[in-house]
Order: sequence, then C-alpha cells, then structure tokens
Amino acid sequence: MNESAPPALIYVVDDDHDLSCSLTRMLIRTGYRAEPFVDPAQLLAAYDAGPAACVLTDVMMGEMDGFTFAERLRVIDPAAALIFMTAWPTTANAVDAIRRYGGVDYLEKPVDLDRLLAAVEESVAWSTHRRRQLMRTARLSPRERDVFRLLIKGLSSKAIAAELNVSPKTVEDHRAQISAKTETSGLAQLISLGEPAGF
Amino acid sequence: MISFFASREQWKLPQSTRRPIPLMQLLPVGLMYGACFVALHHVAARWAMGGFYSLWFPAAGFRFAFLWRAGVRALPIAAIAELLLELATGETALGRHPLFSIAGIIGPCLVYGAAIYLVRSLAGRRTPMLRLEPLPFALAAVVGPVAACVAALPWALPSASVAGAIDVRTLVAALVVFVLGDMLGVLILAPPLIWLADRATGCSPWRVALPRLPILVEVAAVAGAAWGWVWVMNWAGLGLSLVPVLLATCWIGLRTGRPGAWAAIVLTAAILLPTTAQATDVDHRLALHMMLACIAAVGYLSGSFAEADANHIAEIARRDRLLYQAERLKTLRAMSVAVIHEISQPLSTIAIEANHLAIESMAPLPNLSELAATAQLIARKAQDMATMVRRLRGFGGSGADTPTPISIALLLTDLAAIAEPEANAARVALNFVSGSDAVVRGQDIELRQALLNLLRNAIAASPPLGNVEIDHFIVGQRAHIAVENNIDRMISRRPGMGLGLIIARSIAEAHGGAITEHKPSPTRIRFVLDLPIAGGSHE
Repeated sequence: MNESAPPALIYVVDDDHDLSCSLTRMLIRTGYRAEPFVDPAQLLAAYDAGPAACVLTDVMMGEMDGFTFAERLRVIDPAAALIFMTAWPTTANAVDAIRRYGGVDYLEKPVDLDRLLAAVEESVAWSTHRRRQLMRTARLSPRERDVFRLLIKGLSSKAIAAELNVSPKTVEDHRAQISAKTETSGLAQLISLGEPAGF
Repeated sequence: MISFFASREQWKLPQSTRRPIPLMQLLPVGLMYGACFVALHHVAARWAMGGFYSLWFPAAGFRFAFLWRAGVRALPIAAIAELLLELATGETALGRHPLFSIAGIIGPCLVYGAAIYLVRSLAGRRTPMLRLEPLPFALAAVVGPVAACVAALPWALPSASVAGAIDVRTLVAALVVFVLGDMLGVLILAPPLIWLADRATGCSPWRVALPRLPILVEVAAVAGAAWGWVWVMNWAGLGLSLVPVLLATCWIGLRTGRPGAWAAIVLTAAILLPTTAQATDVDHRLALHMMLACIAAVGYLSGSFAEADANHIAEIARRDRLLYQAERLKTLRAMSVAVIHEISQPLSTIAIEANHLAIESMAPLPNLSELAATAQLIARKAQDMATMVRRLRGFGGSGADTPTPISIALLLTDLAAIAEPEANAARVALNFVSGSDAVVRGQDIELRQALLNLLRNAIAASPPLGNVEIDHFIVGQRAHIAVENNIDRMISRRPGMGLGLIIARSIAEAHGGAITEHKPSPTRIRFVLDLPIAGGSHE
C-alpha cells in the first residue's frame, strides 16, 4: 500500500451485525479504513459523504438483496469496486455477480480470509486506477468531449472536422488540449481512458 | 370394494410375449400346440351339434391363450400347426372345395392373432381406461370370436349351399353356433390356461388372495338368489330365462374381479350346457346359449373393468405419494438453504475472530481486553450455533415421525427464515404479526410443509411489491394461523398452487385441523389453518 496516501476506505454490508463488525475490525487491523453497515439502504443514503474504494456486500439480505444494492451503488459511484459474499453460492449468481454487476470477486461463506484480502487489495487498485481515469476525462470541455468521443471511434481529424462542422485546425487544437488535460500521448491511451469514462 | 384381485404384477403381460420363439423350439412348440388343438377339437366333436362347430369349443380357448401368451410372432406356427395336424389326423377333410377348407382351418387362427394385435396396439387410444390391465385381454376375448365369425362368412357360403341354393337358416345357425362356441371356449378355458402358464413360468407367484368373507357371502347370496329365481320361473312353467343370472354375474364380476366372474361363468355353463344339449328345439337352444355367451362376455368384462379400475386407483395413489414426496423434498431444500445461511454467518464470524485471537495472543504485548472481547464473541457465536443444531436435530432424529409438542410462535419464526428468500425474489413483503402463542401436537416437518405451501401460494398470488400478512390467535381450544394477501387478478392462479393447497389440507386434516378460505375484501384472500391445542394456551 502507498504509505503517503490515506488508507483506502472499505464498506462492509451484511445483515448479520456481528459478522459485518468482525469483517470491519479485520480490515482495520490489515491497514484499511472500514465501516460496517447492516442495511444497504443506510449505506446508499450516507454514501456521498465518503466514496469508498471497495464495498464488500452479502447477497442474501432482508429488504434489498446484494445485486439490487450493487445496481444502485453503480449509479452513484461507477468507481467503487464490489465484492460479493454468499452462504448459498450458485453458478448463475456467480456469473451475474462478475459479468452483470462488475464484481471483483464472488466469495462463499464461511469466508476464506486470504482470498478475501487478495480480492480487497485487487479492488482497491482497480478503484484507484478507475477514479484517476475518471478525473482526467472530467476536466474536458463539452466540445473537447465531442472530439474525444469521435477520436476514440477511430475518425481522422479531417473526418471529425466534417462531422462537427469546424475547421481541421480547430480539431487539432482540441486534440492538443485533450492530450494535455488527460495526460495522454497517443490514440491507444485515449481509447483506454474512453471506456471507463462511459464514452 | 374389490378384494379378490391379484396384484397388478400377477396380471401383467409376461415378458415372453415380447420375445420371438427360438428357432430350435419352433418344431416342438408347433407340434405340441397342434396336438393339443386337435385333441380339444376332437373332444368338442362329442357334443357337436350340426353345422361346423360345437357349442363349447375349448380348442378356441387354447388357441387364444397360446397367441396371447406367445404373441403375434407365434401366429404363423400356430396356423401351420393347426392346418397340418387337422388334415393329418383327419379331424377336418379337404372336401369339395380344398381352398375353402384350408381357409376355414387357418382363417380363425389368423383373425384371432389380428384381433389380439389390434386390441393390444389400439386399445386406449381414445379412452386411456381401456389400456389398463386386464381390460385388453377381456376386449380381445370378446372381439376375437366375433371377428373370426365375420371373416368366416365367405368360406362358409359354399358349405351351406345345397344344389346351388344357400340355406340361410342353416348358414346363420352355423355362424351363431361358431361365435358362441368360440366365445365360451375362450372365456372359459383361456383365463385359467394363462393363469397356470404365468405361474408355471415364474411370471407370477402361486399365492392367491381369497376375497374377504363378507364379500364371499354377498356374492354367494346374489348367485343363489339369481339361480333360485330362474328355478322358480321354470318350475312355474314360465320357461328357462337366464336374465337374473346375467345380472348376478355382472354384479359378481364388479365385486370380485375376474376370478369371481370366471367361477360364475363356469358354474352357469356347467349347469346349462348339459341340461340343454339334448333339447330338440334348436331355436330355443340357440337363444339360451346366446344368453350364456352374453353372461360370459358381460361377466368377464365387468370383472376386468373392476380390476382395471382398482389398478387405476392404485396408480393414482402412487402418483399422489410421489408428488407428496417431491413437495416434501422442496421444503427440505428450502430448509437446507435457510440452515446453511444461518450457520455460515456465525461460522464466518468465528473464523475471523479465532484467526485474530491466534495472531493477537502471539504479540509481545497483547491487548488483553480485546482478547477477552474476541473470546466472548466467539463463545456467543458458538452458543448460537449450538442452539440452532439442537433445533435442527429434531427433524432428522428418530422422533421426527412421532408427534411432538410444537409452539406456533416458534414454528412461524422458523418459517419466516425459510420463506424470506422466496418472498424477496418475488418482491413480496412478509409481515408476521405476533399473537398469543399456543402449543399443538403434531409432526413438525409436516406442519411446516403445510404452512410453507400456504405461504408459497400467497407469495405467488400477490402482485409485485404486495404484502403477505401472517398472524396467529386462539379461538376456544383451537390455535388459528392466518395467511392473508392481496390478489393479483392477472396471476391469481399459477401451476402447483392447487397441489400445494391439497397437500396442506391433507396435513391439516391428519392433525385434526382444517384449512378454510375467506375473502375479507374483494381484493384480499385469507387462508386460516386451525389446529387443536395440545398443552393449553399460554401467553
């Protein structure tokens, strides 16, 4: 872990209070900041105050299940990594957890601690990277975003100029701005930024 | 009603009917069949009356039994054996029209084979009941002789013609006697032959279940009354009418199945055939013998129908048991999901905390208060799991099938855990309203099943985001548990709901209770399970 940065924040959601607290204490002892939640709705309500690097959530819960919670969290924060835990693992749920809800891992209870810690570490790295990517594209102006979208589609400056009804010179200026703001040097790097930013 | 039935297995078709006769056995089997057939034909000639065939033609019964047991594959052997041995022994001569004579010998055999094949393959296409054993045998036994008679008409014509003119009276009489002789021969001889063959070849056990004494007394009384009335009418000079015997035989068949029907048929034939053989009035004799054939056909059909019906009922009962077991498995599966979920939670906590304890206790300066708190948490979780295991032990133990006192409140708490995931999946809220607790006596797992079925139905019938309310209360000496929900008109009935309710009702009735349906409002439905209280009510 990077010593200079503050420890990554992890939220633990499980309707068993003792288990969520145990997991939280274990994560704190490992060096993370962590907070337990019994009700996923409470976490969603309080989420804006502290975006997390990773949310560790149970699948079978009372009012709202882990997948519904994941869908709502993705809307609020596309850069938070998700790890699912369940006492009744099924293949269909495992596939959904990873492919549909973008989970980093799908763990069965009782939880294998080493695997959990490895998944959390991977989650934190993924979340940090994605947040950085999002921040870089967030600085673009609306016009620069248009040019960016067409660039990563593979269009040349000339084609973009025709599409946006501007001169090729203007497109070149926008390209220079985009490279400077996103700290990229080349189309390949731009494309890798475009996908997580939702372009 | 029926008690004299052999088991299903006793009457099923023997495996040999599906196997062709081995090549090496063709000759001995054909010779033996032909010899028996000719011998029976010869015996029947002793009481032959004019025309072509005798009144009781046992050779037809032997032929039918052989074809039924050996299958249609044996048909060519039977036909050739009959032809060769009949001609060789001089039992039948070729006469003026050799081709007609040959057709006359092998024709009935081929028609019998075709009738057996068609009945076996076609019976039950429209009416599945006809497919049930032993109805196909009875149908074939009645259809075979009639079909053989119809088929015999073309080659019977030349024999009946005298100097170019056909004597219609002689022809019809001969054909009627043919049908009567064959039908009586088949219905009297074929069933015991097949019965013996099944036992001799080990297809069925020799043990025979006798009917219960009251039924024996009843059928004996019915037969006695019928024959008594026949005698009274005859004595009074009103002639010999067998209609009461027809009714009695039908009754005996329905009450005792085929064995009773067969005995009644044999008795009737044994009384009637010898007493009427010498009668000179051919018309009267034919009428009586037609009645005898009717008695045999109706009696055997009714006996077979009663057995098929009993087999049908047994089959339905077997399927009900399978469905019941499938439902029970579904409950057990839902329970195992709940149990695994419940056990995984404390186990996860224990694993994490024990790991922490191991690491912390090795530290040079362990935080003692934290160690104590962790140990206490582990102990508490272990205690929770022990309580859960004690409760679960009740299901699998030897006492699982004996009635035990069950707390309604505790039952509903457990049920909530089982049904919650299903309700969540259907986006339906379960609202358990606590009421005064009561203890009932019964089988825990079955009551759970009954309540779970009611809950499942309520969840399935609820609209999305609907709620199911479960409350319990005491009325007099009975505990009531009510499951109430909104009805979604679009999905008010789903497959399986009816079965769930039937099972729940049968469980409730087995516990001395009942399930009633109420409609508190047009959009809500309420099922109430009430059970007798065992240990009295307590708050």
